[in-house]
Amino acid sequence: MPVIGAPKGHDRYRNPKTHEMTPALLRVRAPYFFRNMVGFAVVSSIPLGVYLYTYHLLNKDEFGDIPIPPVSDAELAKLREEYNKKN
Amino acid sequence: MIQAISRRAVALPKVACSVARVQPNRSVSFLKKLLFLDDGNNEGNEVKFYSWDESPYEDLRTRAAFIRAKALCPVTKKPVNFVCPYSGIPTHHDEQAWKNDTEYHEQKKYELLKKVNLYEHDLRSGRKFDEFIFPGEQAHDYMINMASWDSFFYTRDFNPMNTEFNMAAATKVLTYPLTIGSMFFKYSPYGLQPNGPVTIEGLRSLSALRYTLYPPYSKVKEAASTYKERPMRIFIVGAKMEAMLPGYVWKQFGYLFPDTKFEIHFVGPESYFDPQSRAFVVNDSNNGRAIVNRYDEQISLHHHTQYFHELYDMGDLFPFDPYLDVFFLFHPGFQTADEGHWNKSLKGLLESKCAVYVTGYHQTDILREYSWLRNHPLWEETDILMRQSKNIFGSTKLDLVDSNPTETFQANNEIFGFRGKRYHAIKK
Repeated sequence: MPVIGAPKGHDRYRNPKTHEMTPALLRVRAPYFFRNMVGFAVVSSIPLGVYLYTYHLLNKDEFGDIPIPPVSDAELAKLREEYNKKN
Repeated sequence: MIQAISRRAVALPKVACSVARVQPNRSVSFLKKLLFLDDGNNEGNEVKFYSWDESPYEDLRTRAAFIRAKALCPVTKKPVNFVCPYSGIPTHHDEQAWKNDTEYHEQKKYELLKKVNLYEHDLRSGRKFDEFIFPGEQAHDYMINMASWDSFFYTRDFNPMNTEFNMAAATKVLTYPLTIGSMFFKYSPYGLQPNGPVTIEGLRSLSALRYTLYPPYSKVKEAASTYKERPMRIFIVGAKMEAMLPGYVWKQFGYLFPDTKFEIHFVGPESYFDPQSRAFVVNDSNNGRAIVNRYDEQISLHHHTQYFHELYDMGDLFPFDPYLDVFFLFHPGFQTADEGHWNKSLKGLLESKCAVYVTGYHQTDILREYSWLRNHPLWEETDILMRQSKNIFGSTKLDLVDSNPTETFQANNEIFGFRGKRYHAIKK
């Protein structure tokens, strides 16, 4: 007579030691493989696109036109002296 | 039959339990396995290969002798006397005929025959039959997926069917309840025309049955459905093997529709297997009433040992109701010796206006059944509910015809449906 019992969960569909999928589970999942991969590509393309777009946009920034404030030699010596005094 | 198998499984020592092979290391990645659809199924190589003549099991040796006695060679039409070295089954008259059979070698029929051989030995090997450990009730909130045998077993929480031998043993018995179940199930895998095989008339019949199985929601339990005043009846006309299935196999069908009660009626002279005399017996006690085997509250099995037309003329089963009754004819063989009985039974089947589903062993077989119906005088009265198509829940176990050993078949491989016309035809 068969044993009719409570469900034992889907752990039985994996190798108890390596947790590798059994042939039965591979067959169950096979029909979904292609669609899952397409879904994976679509979902991962969103953050990847954001990252690439940001990189592309920031690379276009030109910093040459920003005026660097002119500092005279005398003022520089004075600042250096102040800095040395502190340390 | 299962009881016989499981009894043997208990009695004999375990020969080889190759099912739960534990590999020490993860050798191939999951992605690679899926990409190449490698299911790791190399169990077939481990099973010892015997020729049927030298099989350790007596019944297989007897069967080989029977083939030699009855079958004719497909090439020379002489008695079979040569064992195909690929499959181990006697198939041809001599080696010359075997070599000349181009169809046999081109279509690789010997591979199918080899599977037949291996399946038969596997069933007798006395290994641990884990596939016959059936699950109980379906947990609430877990949907059953009927897309294929594999998804069904997974979502119903069966033991993993890792090898094709597991699949063959389990599907051979579960094909009968599941063929019925997959037809009525809310998310049935059979689509409506033109994408699927079900016609508009078929949808009408199925909708009626689903109205009973899935009644409209109502807060008051009594008012749920007025159609449930009696259990749903499933008639299996011309029952043979399926009448021997024990109740717990039919209970697997019951778990698909837990809120409905079912009476399963087996009709036909081979519909009651007497365990004492180990033969199909015709019941003449009870004044012709059915032998009832109540499995539990939900499922009861009724064995009627008369032909369907005799039962129909007796009128005990009236009234028939398309909302509550359905007929299944598992490999009826309309054009065999029983043709006279089928001729008479068809009238009753059509008059009842209930859905009738017919299965066949392979495509040629189902087309033969269909053409019989097509050429029958009552064809005018018939609506087709379902085009002939592959049965998703057919048995995966191959078997061979003893009188023609190169022909293999699978139980319930193909299916179609018909019904008596429910409306008045208008003449133009």
